[in-house]
Amino acid sequence: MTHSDKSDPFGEGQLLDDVFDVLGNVQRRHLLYFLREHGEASLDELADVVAAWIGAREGDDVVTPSDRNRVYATLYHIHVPKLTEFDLVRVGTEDDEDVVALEPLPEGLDRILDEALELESSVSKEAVAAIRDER
Amino acid sequence: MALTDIITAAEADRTVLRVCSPTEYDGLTDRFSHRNVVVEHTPLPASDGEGFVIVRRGDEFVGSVSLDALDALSHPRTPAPGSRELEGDNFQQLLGLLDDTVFTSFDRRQMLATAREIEDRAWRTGRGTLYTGFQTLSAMEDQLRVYRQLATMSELDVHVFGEGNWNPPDIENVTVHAIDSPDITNVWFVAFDGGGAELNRCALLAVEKRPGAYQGFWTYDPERVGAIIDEIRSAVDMNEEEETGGGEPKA
Repeated sequence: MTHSDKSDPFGEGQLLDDVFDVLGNVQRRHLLYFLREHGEASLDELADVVAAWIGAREGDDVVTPSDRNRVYATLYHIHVPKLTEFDLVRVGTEDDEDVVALEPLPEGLDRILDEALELESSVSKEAVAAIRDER
Repeated sequence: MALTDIITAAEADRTVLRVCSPTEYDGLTDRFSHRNVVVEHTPLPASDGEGFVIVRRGDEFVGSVSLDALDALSHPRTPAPGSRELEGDNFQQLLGLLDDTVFTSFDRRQMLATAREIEDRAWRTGRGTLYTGFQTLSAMEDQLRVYRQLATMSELDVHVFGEGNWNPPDIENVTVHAIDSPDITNVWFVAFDGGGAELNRCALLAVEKRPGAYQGFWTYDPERVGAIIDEIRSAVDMNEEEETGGGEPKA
């Protein structure tokens, strides 16, 4: 289990385990959806978008500054480092050291993100409600 | 500070409305062009059906709501205070985010829609004092239904101001002040003191720049609402009239 092996982070039979590990978090998925569309963004912008997007999906009335700041903190401390570890994003470009930029994604991960995004839009609310009801 | 100075001070803030959606929201920029609001569009992936609006003021994240809030904003309605139509309304949430938002050209209908949000909050709170300046009292004639409704709240004290060109009927809990001070008659305002809860304070204040075109702002900032109410009360000598403060229905 050598996640730090940068040369082949998704190789050697680890591919699906690692893909689902990375995608098993709603903030990381939305960060990746956004960067696939825009290539790069500042951490401030990512925190705004990820917080607002998830809030809108979950039917929150209003996403508040403290909601958004919590997202900023987890992106900064947990999710961006994790995505960097898997070589999916890099922090800092020639022009801007604070920008988060998307790296070329492994083909499998790209495909699963496509599917995940569609499921996110169509299924999430009903499915989440159903799962909660069953508990 | 005169009421018109309070409007100038509010104009210093600029709001950015960032609309994130798969396709551009038609005509949105036009809808906000008469306001001190910059609208930007950020594309979301095409397969995503939903969208949202992020509101920023300067370097501050103010809040975000889902995109359907904008539908209501572009079709302002004026339902009666306390009506179901206003409850849980995204329009109200978006108004909250656009707090202290300056507008440069609201028509009468947009003014009424915003005023109604404030009257509705007063009605819901059910106590406290609501101050309404109609410029001329005859403008109250169209609003009698609303003010009769507000008057059903016995602990809500309502004061209406305007140039005395019309004699409104007596309504319990509603005190009419016929007044010709330009400080009051030059502006259209609705201000609610929150009924003891600072968070419930809100106000709308505007001047009529051209016939039917209003420039001003609304705010949920307790201090700014307090400043507006102080100004109204001192302009009509209510501070001396009711030294114990508002909130008690006048006999």
